[in-house]
Amino acid sequence: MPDSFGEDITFTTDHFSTICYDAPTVIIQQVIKGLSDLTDVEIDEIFKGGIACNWWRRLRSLPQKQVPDRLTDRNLEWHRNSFKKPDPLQGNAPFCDNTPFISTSAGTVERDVMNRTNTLTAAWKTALYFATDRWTKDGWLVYCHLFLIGKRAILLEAFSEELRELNIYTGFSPFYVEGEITAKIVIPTAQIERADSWSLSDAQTAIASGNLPAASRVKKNPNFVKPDDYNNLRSLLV
Amino acid sequence: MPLHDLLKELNLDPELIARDRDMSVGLAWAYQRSALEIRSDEDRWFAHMMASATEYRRAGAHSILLSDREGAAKMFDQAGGVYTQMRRPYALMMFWCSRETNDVSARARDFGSLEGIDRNQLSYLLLSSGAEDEGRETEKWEAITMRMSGSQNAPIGVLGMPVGVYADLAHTLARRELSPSTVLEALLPFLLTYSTALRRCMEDEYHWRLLAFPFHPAEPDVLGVLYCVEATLRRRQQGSLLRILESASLFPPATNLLYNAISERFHNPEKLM
Repeated sequence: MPDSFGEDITFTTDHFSTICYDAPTVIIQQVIKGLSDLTDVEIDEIFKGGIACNWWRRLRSLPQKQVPDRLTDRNLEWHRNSFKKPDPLQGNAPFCDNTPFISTSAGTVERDVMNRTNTLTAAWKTALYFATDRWTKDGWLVYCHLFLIGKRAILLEAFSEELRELNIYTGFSPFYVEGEITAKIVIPTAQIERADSWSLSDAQTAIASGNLPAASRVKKNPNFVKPDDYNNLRSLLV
Repeated sequence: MPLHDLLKELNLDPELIARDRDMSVGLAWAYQRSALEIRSDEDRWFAHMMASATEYRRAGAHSILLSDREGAAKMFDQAGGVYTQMRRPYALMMFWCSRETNDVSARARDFGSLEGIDRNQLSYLLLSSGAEDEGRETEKWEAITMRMSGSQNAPIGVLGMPVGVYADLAHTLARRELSPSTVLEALLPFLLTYSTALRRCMEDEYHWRLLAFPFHPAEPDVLGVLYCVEATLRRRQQGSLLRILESASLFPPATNLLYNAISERFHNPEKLM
């Protein structure tokens, strides 16, 4: 059978062994993105188009050909450590204006990390801190699902970067937001489950009475595709 | 100068810290209450208790920055109580931030046998035991030392300090005579790690100002150790860390923070020279 270059491809077991790799285990991780100053209409827009990185949002249309030059180790480091610093590669505009990455919170996932650090901060709390602009206004927590492969894959848009895995020796780092997972270019709408609206005053009233706070309103994304619908988990028929 | 007055110089916002402290105090209590309704053998109980202790700990560290000594003592005491319920001797580091030596020693003895205690957590028991003047249980001291011997390089705490540096400091404190040079030698790993972490975090101005990283400028992992050592030196009338800090040549904001945090903890009106 000729391929597009006119060469014969023989589908033998050997041939497939050269092009099929052992797929790493893909982890589907639930994360939370805290967002502030958004109306219901703007949340609906996110449900249609996903959560875009600042670079895309600023340009309004994505220059796809530039994506490989943006998804670099250097930019990931700038995203984490120099978020608001002037970026000489972008005419000294603050790096955050042109970041191709999107920060999200996953909290502490592994018990081993808690055992070593003696601490555990819930993902929703970290996200809410940013969403409420440091406890000053109402905010949104957007629940998403990101794909991880347990190793660095910066050029691969589809896979997010797991911060805690970067510190291969200790498994934790004092310098980064705990449990941060960084998405790339866009979190597609199919991976966005819902957006929870949080009233700061309701949250404050709840904790003043010794209760854990909860969202005041939940908006479900009609375009969300449940991971159960596409992952490889085979469940029993009966 | 009280720590509170240093905050602007450190590019930290006292109002944000106060708001975040209020939120942490409320969450700590809410998680603690919520854990009461969960069986203690469930993973969820562990997570809620750990979250509660973490929030009390954060509220305590914030209180230190705000020069609220009473508030800090109360929050660290609460954190210590929750860690104790989880059988984590890390509780003792919280108590060093809130209580007098005799109280800390009594709380250390409350842990009783070493049964069910994570091996790396023994570092905190050993350190507190080393700080005692008399009544140290030799058998227990040896049992802890033996159990820790295979994990000297295991990282522990927010800063990932090797377990071995806690053991080294504990053995230094266990000597009757402490000289400034031996104390400094045993403390250097803590001081340098803290100083480096502070410098790195301060360079990232955005996250620094928001206090958005696991490390805290008034890091309880480090202050707990320093308070333990300072209490021991004062009790034995063998000097003070304040003098030792002046000669340690750390990142200046690190020296400033530690110096003032120790002065305020021990109600010392001395000024940094």
